[in-house]
Amino acid sequence: MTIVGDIIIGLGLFFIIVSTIALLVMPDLYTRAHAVAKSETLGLLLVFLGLFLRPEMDAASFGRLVFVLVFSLIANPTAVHALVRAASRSGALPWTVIDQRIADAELGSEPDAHGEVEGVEAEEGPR
Amino acid sequence: MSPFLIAVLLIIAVLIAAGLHRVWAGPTVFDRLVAIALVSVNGVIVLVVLGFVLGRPSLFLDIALAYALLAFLLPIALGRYFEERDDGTSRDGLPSPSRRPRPTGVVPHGLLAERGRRATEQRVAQAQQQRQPSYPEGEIQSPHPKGRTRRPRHYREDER
Repeated sequence: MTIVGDIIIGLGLFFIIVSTIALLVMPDLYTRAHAVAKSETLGLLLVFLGLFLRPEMDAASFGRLVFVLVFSLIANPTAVHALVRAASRSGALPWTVIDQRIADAELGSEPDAHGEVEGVEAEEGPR
Repeated sequence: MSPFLIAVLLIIAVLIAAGLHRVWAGPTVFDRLVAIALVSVNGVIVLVVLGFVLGRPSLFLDIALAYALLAFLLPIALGRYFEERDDGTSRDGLPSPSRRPRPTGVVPHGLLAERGRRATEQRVAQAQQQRQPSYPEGEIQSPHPKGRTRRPRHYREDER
């Protein structure tokens, strides 16, 4: 029973580690919030479920652990969602891989020295 | 006193320290707040596991519950506080987020920065190779009906 609990706790610890690494590595706010809201909540859930199977568990702490578990399960994604909604209303833009230098090089959208844009030929009539 | 739970505690303590790096380095205030949300969830886990390690789970569960309540209120309250208002101002002391540059292309910070920079160089080099066909040197005849002579575009770009 204890070994099963330890395995579940280890699994939850894996998700928590992944979530923290994602918080450090991800490039913008939305991807970071994704890691914190989902992976972290799953890790918390698994760690608490593993603690239910530990021998230190007693009747007085059973209800409290259930309450903390359910509350965190609801509260953590809600809090992160509220944060990201505030950031989105403030105009935080999602990260994108389209670099302006890449767009200029691939599409040739940059006007050249003569003020012409690629693909749009200026009409050169007789003067 | 289970050694496994103590190991779990130590690992989560390291993770809290790692999350504090994002709190310190986050470019906007919302990045910091998201990192604080993660750190406080890790704190709740540490409190609960600490109760099981010390053999008094019900006491530490009460503390963890109070901490979880506070950690729930903090990001919501601060998120509303720092949200941009209708007149376009925000309280975080920086220019309004909608007027900051869009985060594009190269990862500006973090562990992937060097990789993203290299990928950008590669794509730019590829595109420049594709856009420069092997023209002969000098001027080429144009198929223009008036018979005017013009040079290919990339020569002009080289002159700049």
